[in-house]
Amino acid sequence: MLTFNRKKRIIFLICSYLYISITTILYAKTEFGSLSSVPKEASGLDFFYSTQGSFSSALLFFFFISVMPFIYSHNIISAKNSNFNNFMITRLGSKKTYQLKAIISNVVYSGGVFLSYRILQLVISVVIINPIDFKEETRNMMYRLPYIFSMNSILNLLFYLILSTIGVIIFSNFILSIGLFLKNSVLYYATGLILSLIFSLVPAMLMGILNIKDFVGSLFFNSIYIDTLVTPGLHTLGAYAPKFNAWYPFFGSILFFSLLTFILYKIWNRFYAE
Amino acid sequence: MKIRTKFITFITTAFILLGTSVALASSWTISSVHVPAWGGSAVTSEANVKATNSSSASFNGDVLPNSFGYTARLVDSNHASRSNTAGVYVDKTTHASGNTLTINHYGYAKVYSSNVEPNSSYVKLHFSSDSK
Repeated sequence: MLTFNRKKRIIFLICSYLYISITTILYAKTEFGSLSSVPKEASGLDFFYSTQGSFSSALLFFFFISVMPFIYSHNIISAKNSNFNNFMITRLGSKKTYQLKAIISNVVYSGGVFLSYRILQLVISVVIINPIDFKEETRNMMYRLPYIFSMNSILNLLFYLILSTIGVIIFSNFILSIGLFLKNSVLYYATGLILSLIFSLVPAMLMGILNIKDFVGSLFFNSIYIDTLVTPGLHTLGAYAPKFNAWYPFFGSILFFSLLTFILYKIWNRFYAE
Repeated sequence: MKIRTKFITFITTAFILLGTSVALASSWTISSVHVPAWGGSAVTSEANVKATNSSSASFNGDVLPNSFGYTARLVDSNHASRSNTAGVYVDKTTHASGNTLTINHYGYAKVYSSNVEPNSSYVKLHFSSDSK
């Protein structure tokens, strides 16, 4: 693992945990009027899901889509732009080893941090709303059909946590692959936000213009929609009910973004890497 | 007619009538609401009275102009949440679980747009505080 600025990263993590805790509590307060008036039957799990994705609080949503480069990958881009990476390449012996280590470190940090964010939000939801009654939640899963991973609410939650972490890892590497082409390190900080908006607005706009209603078209545009990758199984694009379960568009989005990332890495290695 | 046959006929008729009365007790409310852009939300001005002790609320979209879609939940007159959220789709009834509204109380639909939705819109939907 490549480590840069450990102290700064710890401070950043503490600040982000505080920010997420406060905004999640504020969101609950807005939705329920006051925390003391939360009904006993209100679902902590449903509140957790409502804090995820593009239909959650704007403060949470824009934090999650902008924070991606700040977690780890900006170190790699800064090192590339200041030629500091040459020292590390010399120390590690080869450029390939350095690149592999950089990607693995980005995967571990991004995945680990985002999973901890989700678990923190789940804990806060359970504490401030209500403990999760998985039997009741499993009964309620039929209302969310067909866009779910499993009819069992525990499995569905586990799938959500694991698959959303995988999605975040893929998106983080996609941002990193774009960052390799940028000469300005400061510009890289905005790529998470910009790319998230592009991959939200473009599929939505095309789906609206082309008036897509059929299975294949809807599946395709949901697959290139960023929400499907980073918060799978929660929301679909468009005004028409989905005719597929949550697995199909998620695998589609994994395939699409992985392919795009792979192509960008190949182009950079072939034409741009010194 | 044998007593047993009469009894079965009576029970069957009673069940049918009971089912019909429960279905009639709950009703739809048609409403249109102006939903702001960028993750804004709006509450319908029309209410729907809860008639049964159903644990879910129902939503059905009529006119949903934006491409990002909408979600909705049931709220009370103080705009405090009374159910979980559910997606709203054209010509499809969706159910929001965790309906905590009590019988004979007014429920309203709170409709949300996506955080990346750049346009505000007029949404027309029908909703019920009961399961339909």
